[in-house]
Amino acid sequence: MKQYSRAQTRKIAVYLAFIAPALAFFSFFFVYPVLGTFELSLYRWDGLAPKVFVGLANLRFLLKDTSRMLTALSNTLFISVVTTITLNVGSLVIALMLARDRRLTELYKTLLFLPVVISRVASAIIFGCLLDPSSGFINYLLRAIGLGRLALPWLGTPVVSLLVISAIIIWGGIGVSMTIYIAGLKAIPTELTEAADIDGAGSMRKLRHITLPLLAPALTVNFCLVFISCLKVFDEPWLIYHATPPRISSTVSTIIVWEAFSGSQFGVSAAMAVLLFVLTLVLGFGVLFLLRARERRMY
Amino acid sequence: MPRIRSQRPALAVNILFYVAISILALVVVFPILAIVSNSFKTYGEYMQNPVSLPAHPVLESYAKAWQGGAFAVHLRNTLFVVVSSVAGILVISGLAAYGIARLEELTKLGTVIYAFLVAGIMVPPTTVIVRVFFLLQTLHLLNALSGVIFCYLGAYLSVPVLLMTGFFKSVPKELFDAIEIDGCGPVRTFLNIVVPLSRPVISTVVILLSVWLWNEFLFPYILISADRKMTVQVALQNMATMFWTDVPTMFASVMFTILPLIAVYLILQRQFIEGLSRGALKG
Repeated sequence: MKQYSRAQTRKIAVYLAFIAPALAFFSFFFVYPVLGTFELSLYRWDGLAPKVFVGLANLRFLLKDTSRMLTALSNTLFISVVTTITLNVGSLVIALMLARDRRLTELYKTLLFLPVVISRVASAIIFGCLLDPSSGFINYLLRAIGLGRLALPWLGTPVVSLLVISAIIIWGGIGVSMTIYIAGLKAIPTELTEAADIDGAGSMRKLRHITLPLLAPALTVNFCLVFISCLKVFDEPWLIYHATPPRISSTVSTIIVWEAFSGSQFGVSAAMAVLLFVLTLVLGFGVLFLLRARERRMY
Repeated sequence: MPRIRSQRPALAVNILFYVAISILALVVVFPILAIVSNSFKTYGEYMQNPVSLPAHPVLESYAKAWQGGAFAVHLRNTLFVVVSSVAGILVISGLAAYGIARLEELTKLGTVIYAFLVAGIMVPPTTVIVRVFFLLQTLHLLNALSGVIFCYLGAYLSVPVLLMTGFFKSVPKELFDAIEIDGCGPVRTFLNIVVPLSRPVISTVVILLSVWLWNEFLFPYILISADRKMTVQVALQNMATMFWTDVPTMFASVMFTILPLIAVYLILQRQFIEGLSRGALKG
């Protein structure tokens, strides 16, 4: 045990007092509810009657009720994978275009970043209305140019509705991913590309052997960022929920809220929440470690 | 310095670049253009043709949305929640970040507390929302804006603490030591030296939190059911359940909720792009 002088002890006490308010709010309004969720997942409770301890029965119930559980889980994973890959490829391409300063680059950045400040609720409504099967902009346009066969009931078609949710997230996420990639690209020393130029490397080879490997850290960050935020997706599927048949676009998060506040199955909801918590940790860190290992192999 | 040939793109490449990026930008901005255009139509005109520009722009939908969504009240509520939460989070996480940065020099405890506070980033908000609901119920804070603010103070601390601790650790500690040797206590050092010094990170945190909290939906949606206490995002969701088919009115409602942020964004573009990206990066 390290010995502290009296002055040091005083200092420690003062700085602990600095931290105390944050610790208090964080513990009481965040950590305590997280622990409470873990506890609640072991009980059967309708919100009114006394709680009944049932152990892991809620979890077993969820695992057995494959239709609800598996749909939500596979929907969430589908959205996460599609969104993460598309968004990263797309914003990487955009970043490659915008990394070199030319005329109007700032304007393009401003425009492409704009959706970032628009709320997910508003985005879901905008896309929902534009894709409305009868009166929507998109279907009107498709019919007008003779592609009426493609005029789908977008939100009510399985898989397509998930792609719509992905599209909404991608739309709102391009700005941030693009900016992170641009920052990564600008950090690549120009000596390297110039040396490759002198060696006569074409632009594709430069991209493949210099730019992309050096961009690996930015890619790791972006991938994890988008992936983890997709795992908890709630707003978009919840908003277009009433426009779609039940469960077509349910995600783990919408089921958690639905079971609790519409189904009064608080124990089941909490078990689902625990599952999401574990899933986020495992998959989040899993993807992080995989990509970090890949980064190391590249050098 | 001699320029290397391939760094000057040929004209064809240039044209290709501008065509491609313009199409991309248009695709991204198109939904916003579509809602602006259609929000100035009547319901009848929209149903006839959702694609054309409004023949006779009218404010009918805006009037209907302003009334139906009671946006005067909801915008005021949101502004109150956002301003007080941002101020509150800034103060408590700024204090904590400074405390952590200095404590880490003295004891491992600082690192432990830091990891604890920052771990909040990994927790999906739907994991806590049910218990938060019952917590506020026992505190009689359901349906109260202050209840939502308290929850934000807990749930939105992690990223500000992360950003500000990083900033304080980048400041050479000799600076703080020297000031304290000059007889300035920790509190006065914090107020007179640290706060003015950290203006850049403060502006990042303010922008980040303002956008996040203005757009936050889950917490107010679950914790507030009284119409007069709703925030704009909840009011917008409410409008969607009532007016979903009346698209011009929906679009006008959307405009009321997104215009304030878009206006500030256009004024402070660079700070926004940098701040929101850095926040996401660290988050």
